[in-house]
Amino acid sequence: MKTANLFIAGQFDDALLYMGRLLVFTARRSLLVWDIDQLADQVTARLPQCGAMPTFMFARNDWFDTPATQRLLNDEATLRLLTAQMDAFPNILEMKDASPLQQLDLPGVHGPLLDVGAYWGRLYVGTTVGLFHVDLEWESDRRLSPYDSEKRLEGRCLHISVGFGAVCASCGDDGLFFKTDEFGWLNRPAQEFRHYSVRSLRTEWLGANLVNYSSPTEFKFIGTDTENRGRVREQGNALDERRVPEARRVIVFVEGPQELNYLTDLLGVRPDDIQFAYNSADRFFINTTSGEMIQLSLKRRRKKGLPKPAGVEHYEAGPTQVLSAHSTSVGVVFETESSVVLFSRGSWRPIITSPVLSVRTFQRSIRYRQLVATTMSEGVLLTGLFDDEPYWHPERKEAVES
Amino acid sequence: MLVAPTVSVKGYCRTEVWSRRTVITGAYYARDPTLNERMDRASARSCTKVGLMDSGMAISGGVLFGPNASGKTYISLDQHRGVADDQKSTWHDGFARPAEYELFSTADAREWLDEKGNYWAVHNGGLTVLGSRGEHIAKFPRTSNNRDPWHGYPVSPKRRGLVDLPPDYCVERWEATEAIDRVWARRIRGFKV
Repeated sequence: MKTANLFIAGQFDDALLYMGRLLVFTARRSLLVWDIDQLADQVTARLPQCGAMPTFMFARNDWFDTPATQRLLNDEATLRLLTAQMDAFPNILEMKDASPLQQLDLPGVHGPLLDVGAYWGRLYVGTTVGLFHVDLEWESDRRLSPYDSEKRLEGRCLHISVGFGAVCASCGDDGLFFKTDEFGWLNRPAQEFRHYSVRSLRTEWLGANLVNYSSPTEFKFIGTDTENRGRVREQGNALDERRVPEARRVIVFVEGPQELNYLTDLLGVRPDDIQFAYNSADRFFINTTSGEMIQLSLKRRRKKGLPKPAGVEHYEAGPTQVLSAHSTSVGVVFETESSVVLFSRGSWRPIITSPVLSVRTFQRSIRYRQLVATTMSEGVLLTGLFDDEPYWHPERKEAVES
Repeated sequence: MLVAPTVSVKGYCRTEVWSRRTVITGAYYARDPTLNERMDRASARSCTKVGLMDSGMAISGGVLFGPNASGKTYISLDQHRGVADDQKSTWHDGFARPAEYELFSTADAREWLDEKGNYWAVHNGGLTVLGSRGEHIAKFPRTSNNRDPWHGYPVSPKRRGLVDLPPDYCVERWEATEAIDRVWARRIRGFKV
């Protein structure tokens, strides 16, 4: 695994990569905006020995997957050259002279920040007093301007999930709020937020279905009914440069939370032995108090219904106190009480060895699927990841994370 | 009567407070009518020797400490020691009973209390694991009678939600007084610990 770290110092609360920008939420509730392509260009200028790797690592992860790059990476001499360029990257490169393009106030947003999200040009901000959205003008001259903001929900908003045209807000003891067809793609009468009176700390998409976590260890399945507009090009993407509506859209959350106990029963894990549970689009990850990480792969299903297990893998020496988890295309990033670690191909790789404010990955984007944005007390760290192992060992070239 | 302390530890001791006599009533008194007399002797001993800190006195249901600088007594309950269950959280084995009392006294001295009169506390910037299930926050619920000893237990918003969450103004105050840093403030507010 190759990594490259870019650091910007400051008193920040959170950071997102979206539509070619690095959006950093400051502790004073404003938004700093960097152009990510310009940042990559600055790094390239400072580190000529790294060739074009800064652009690949920080701005265009999707270029790794183009047929041309794949062809190059499959050539051992070229692979040696490119990985040598990655190795030439310093441990952490601090961008002292990279001033932001602009600083914006976030009108109408109040309260200490708890979570942020971005979807279809709209920023969502969850705070201790509510869920807010801020609509930004993205198109003009790379500079952003807010033109609308609204408080969407009252009360503490712990976690925001966006995707498939829907917005889900986890509001702790107040329950789970969800809204389908947020942007009117279905051409149906507008819906308001609906409410499940279940405790919700966070939700994660499981395909186009949802898993609600009422505690770090308890989770239930919420099925959805979706429509698939074949004519719209499938981007599978909410966080892209181009604002193309997602082809697959949730019409309605059809089923109330359903038990998934059968999965943990299958694994033989006692509920009180689970320290933290998480799911990506097609897998569950169970971290146990005894230090084992269990990865449960699920069958790919076209039909509705509860997920079915496909395979189980057990790994030892997992992290002790996981607080959150985030998918990338090269593995899952776990935030623990004192570190941030990448779990990839059954091994653990530390990214940061200190407590952090937030960790974000961008698995639903096109350009940033191998990037981690970590906000710490001292600043924000962008970590680009490249899994070179399959190119050295083609027999191991199965997908790590879909 | 208590005597005024001759040694001041950690600056908590104030003569006017130590001259106040704390009387144990209610359930603990009913179990052990000699308690007040024993408390006086134990407190006088501990005040003379080490000021605020004492090693406590075993009584039915736990270990009694104090009175502290503001005259409050504290009982480290046996039911919050050992293995946790659905009903009761328990203190971490590495967080001894005197540390429990000292944490309560810190919360009391720094007035880390909510509008209902409950005290909340963190230790070592939030880093110390206080509970046997990894809890980092402690709650000391208001006693129904002012003269009753206080007690406390570790809590976790991520496990039990709002009932275990210190009010936002408490967290804000901890952050402002650097009892915790921004990272731990975010974790507490966001139900992550």
